[in-house]
Amino acid sequence: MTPLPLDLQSAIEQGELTLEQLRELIELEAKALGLTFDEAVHRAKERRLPHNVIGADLELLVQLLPA
Amino acid sequence: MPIQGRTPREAAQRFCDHVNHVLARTVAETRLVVFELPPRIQVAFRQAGQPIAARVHTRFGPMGLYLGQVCESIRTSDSLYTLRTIEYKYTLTPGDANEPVLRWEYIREPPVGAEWSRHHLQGPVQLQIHGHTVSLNDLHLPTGYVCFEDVLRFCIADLEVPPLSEEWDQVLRESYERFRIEFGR
Repeated sequence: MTPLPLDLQSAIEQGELTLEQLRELIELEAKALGLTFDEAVHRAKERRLPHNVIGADLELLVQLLPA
Repeated sequence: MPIQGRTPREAAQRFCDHVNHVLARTVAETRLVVFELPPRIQVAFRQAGQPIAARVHTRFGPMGLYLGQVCESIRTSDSLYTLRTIEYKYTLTPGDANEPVLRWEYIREPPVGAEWSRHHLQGPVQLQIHGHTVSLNDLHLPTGYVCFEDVLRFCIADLEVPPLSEEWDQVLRESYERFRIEFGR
């Protein structure tokens, strides 16, 4: 997985993300799995992501998206 | 002390600090990181913002332990915020394997149409049933709510991960009781 932008790393360490930052994080993790944002969200909701650490984390991150 | 706070952020940080305290006295000093996007929070092992697994040394060799959880903050009648689990994932992956050998999962609201148990165990474990070979990845073995303390105890008692303190058993017992009574799991 490519390193996260420093401002995103900082936001995570500070403990609060904006929706835009969450989407950015999802997009980066999706890219690491070879997926687009939409593909990743769709598969996360269907629980069809890989079961590795990034897939597991991605599925949890999607839970933070507004319904 | 209940896992509550005057703000959702405070409740989330207390939860994360507590779990890190337990982890550092049991199996790993790898740090859980919490962030919120109200009204929900996510907790997971991270390094430079990226999700990682904690490295633990078992009697079978090195494994990666992943702990991840999403909670929702609920305002209580006394104007405090408490946390409710929305989903958890606890996984154990041997060495550099592509997938975990064991996955404990819980989801409060399964996908529409899903009829399987919300609390379940899965993994690439082969079962022989009447001449059929069935993978546990194709089943949802019911477990009931699995506390992270149970997974850490499994690591030490069954996988023989060397505990980081002699008081590991007491640490897990006290944490489990505290959460059972005060966290409402």
